Amino acid sequence: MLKGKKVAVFGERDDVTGLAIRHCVEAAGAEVVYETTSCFV
Amino acid sequence: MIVFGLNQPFNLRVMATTFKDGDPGYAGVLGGVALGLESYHIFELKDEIPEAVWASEMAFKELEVEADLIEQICTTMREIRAG
Repeated sequence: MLKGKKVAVFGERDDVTGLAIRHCVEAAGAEVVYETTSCFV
Repeated sequence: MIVFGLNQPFNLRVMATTFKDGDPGYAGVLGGVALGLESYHIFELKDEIPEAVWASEMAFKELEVEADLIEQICTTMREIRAG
């Protein structure tokens, strides 16, 4: 499902960060085209 | 596709709806602009991620969140993709 997909990552500072998501989806074969980590508090 | 790490169902609904159908509040530049992008929360993708990577990047975060909230997040995301 993720293999070869282009992915935009929206992380959250206090929940799951963008970098952690990037590591996960890249390991599954996706290409991260955008990544950010925001704070919604 | 879009992948979120935010654990707040209400905000997830607004963001995922915006990427799919346009800003539901018609407040931003994406008001009425349907991009048609599918959104997922990273918790929904656990089965797709190699086990060792999930263990190092996500296992602790997963433990911090109550099972009910994870279910609520996954249900919210499924509803938006189906709707």
